[in-house]
Amino acid sequence: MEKIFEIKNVNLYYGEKHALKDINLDIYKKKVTAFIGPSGCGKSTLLRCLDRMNDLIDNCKVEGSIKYNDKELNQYDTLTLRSNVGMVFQSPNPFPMSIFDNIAYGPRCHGIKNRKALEEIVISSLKKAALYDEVKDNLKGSALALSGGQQQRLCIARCIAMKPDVILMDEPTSALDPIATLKIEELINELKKDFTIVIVTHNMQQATRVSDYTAFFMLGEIIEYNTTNELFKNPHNKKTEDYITGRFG
Amino acid sequence: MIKRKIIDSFWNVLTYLFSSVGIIVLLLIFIFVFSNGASTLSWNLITSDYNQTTYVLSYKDKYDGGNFEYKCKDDEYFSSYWGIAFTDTVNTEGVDSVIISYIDDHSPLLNGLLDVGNDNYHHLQVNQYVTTALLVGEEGNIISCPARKGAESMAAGFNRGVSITTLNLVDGGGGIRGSLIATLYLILFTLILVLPLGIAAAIYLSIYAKDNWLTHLLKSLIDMSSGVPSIIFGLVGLLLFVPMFNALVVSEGYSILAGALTMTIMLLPIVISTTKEAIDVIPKKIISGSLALGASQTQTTFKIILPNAIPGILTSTLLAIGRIIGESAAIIFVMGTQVQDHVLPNRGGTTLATHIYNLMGLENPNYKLASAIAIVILMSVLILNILVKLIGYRLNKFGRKH
Repeated sequence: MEKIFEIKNVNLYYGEKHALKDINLDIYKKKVTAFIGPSGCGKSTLLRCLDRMNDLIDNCKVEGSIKYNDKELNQYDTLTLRSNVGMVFQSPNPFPMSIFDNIAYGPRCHGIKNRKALEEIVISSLKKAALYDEVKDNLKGSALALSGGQQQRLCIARCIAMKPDVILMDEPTSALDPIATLKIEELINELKKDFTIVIVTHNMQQATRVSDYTAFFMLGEIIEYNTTNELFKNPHNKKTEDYITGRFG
Repeated sequence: MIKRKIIDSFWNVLTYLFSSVGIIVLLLIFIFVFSNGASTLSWNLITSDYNQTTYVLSYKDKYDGGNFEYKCKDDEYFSSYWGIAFTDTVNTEGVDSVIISYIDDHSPLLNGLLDVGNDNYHHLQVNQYVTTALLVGEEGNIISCPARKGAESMAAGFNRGVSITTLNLVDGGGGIRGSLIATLYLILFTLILVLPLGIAAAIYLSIYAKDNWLTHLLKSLIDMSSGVPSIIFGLVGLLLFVPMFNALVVSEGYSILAGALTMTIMLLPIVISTTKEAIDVIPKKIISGSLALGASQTQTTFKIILPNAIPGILTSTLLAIGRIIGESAAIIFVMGTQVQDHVLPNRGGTTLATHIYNLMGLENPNYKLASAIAIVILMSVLILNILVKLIGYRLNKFGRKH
């Protein structure tokens, strides 16, 4: 299996706080990897390392090596890296502009000006995000008028428009109702044919439903990393077992 | 139980009373200003010059008299001999005077009056004030018609005279056109300077500046400078900007440009803090959403942050305009108190507010005109405030559901 991210001995500090301790993890291409664990265990922090969004935080320091496609992450230009590694946030964050402009935003920032090309990108991204049928008559309407679930799928479409290799999802369904959540999960299953997906989730059922691999985090450490099947059926570590059976956490 | 109710209602009444004091005072100011200035306020006041033009005219030839007809309105008095009608009025300085309210198309006075000053024929117009007229009667007697005797005696005098020795006319005067234009100039130049500076500073402070002691110092200095009395800014303008423009040979002494620079440094803190607030309320998740798509910080600033901050920037613009209209202390030092009719950016002048200062500093303070200008200022500030509210309302309506 091909590795897309190779994370070795990563330590991360927010000022004095040691947030990630000796993380070692491989993320495989075209698979869905889920990060689970109690709040504040560092799973979102690790996710943000993967597209260097942590650079934006003033006193954040990362040590160790993260390789993306066999090249150190630090050697990439952040703009290129972030267009290859997209990110979907916890709560939907569409820009206050039209649906079309939202999706065309990324390509436009990267210099695509041709109206026809943009239109193609917008339509194909919306189709891939399973949103096209719902909004095709209203592409000029405000993105903020959409429902929460639609907004989140719009954000996924916005991500897809950049034609990334990897999509990082930071608890993408935590602000959504069960029906919208189901739709996103179906979408993830569809998207993993084309993209590598890393998803942070609090919902263990969700991890079992969508992911191929699962990493269990606690207090900044990876307790266990295995295929989802194995991790949930045969947890090797006592702490993992306690957490997934709900005895703890 | 009853005792508690009495005590409660006592405190309630006290609260209502005290809270209404502010409104009552504001209302009293409005009533005072309107009762004093409303009679002087007119379109004529806004469009006419401050300095009067006076004419000394005469009609030397003996005029045989026409038999003009004119249907007078209630307050008009018509001289059928000369074909001219007068009305009693109060001029812009608040003095009782006589104004020409009608001239017949065939009246000899229309184009036949000779200007004693330059020997040209004067084109007599409606709405010019007559201060005095000296006419010669049929028997060579002198008929004197001063304005203080009113329009009726003026018309009667004209009917008895066959030629006019002198006719003293006053055109316009007491108007605020010059001050209005100077105010608009000042607003324009100040905004051209203060908006780019203020917006750039706000962008730097809320987006690029690192969170360290220097930034904190900068922020508190900016907050502090909005509390500096405006007269100190005026002093800076007088000692720094006025000589600066003089050295650049664009001005001699006071100038509106120096005023604009002074207002710029005075308004910068307001523009910076309002714009900064508008930028700071933009949800962080939208900004990181843009960055996560691989947009650069500059692209994010210009495509996401600035468009969303525009309502805030507009609010700060309107606030700044309000301050410029109302400012007087700083302006007096750098633009002088001499009311100008021909306004130029590199010369001094008065804004509406300093025009009031000028009027009240005269030997006979002109309360009526000052109050009329106050109405203009109050109205503009009121309209600006309503606009600010409307824009704020639209800001809430536009999208922000977070």
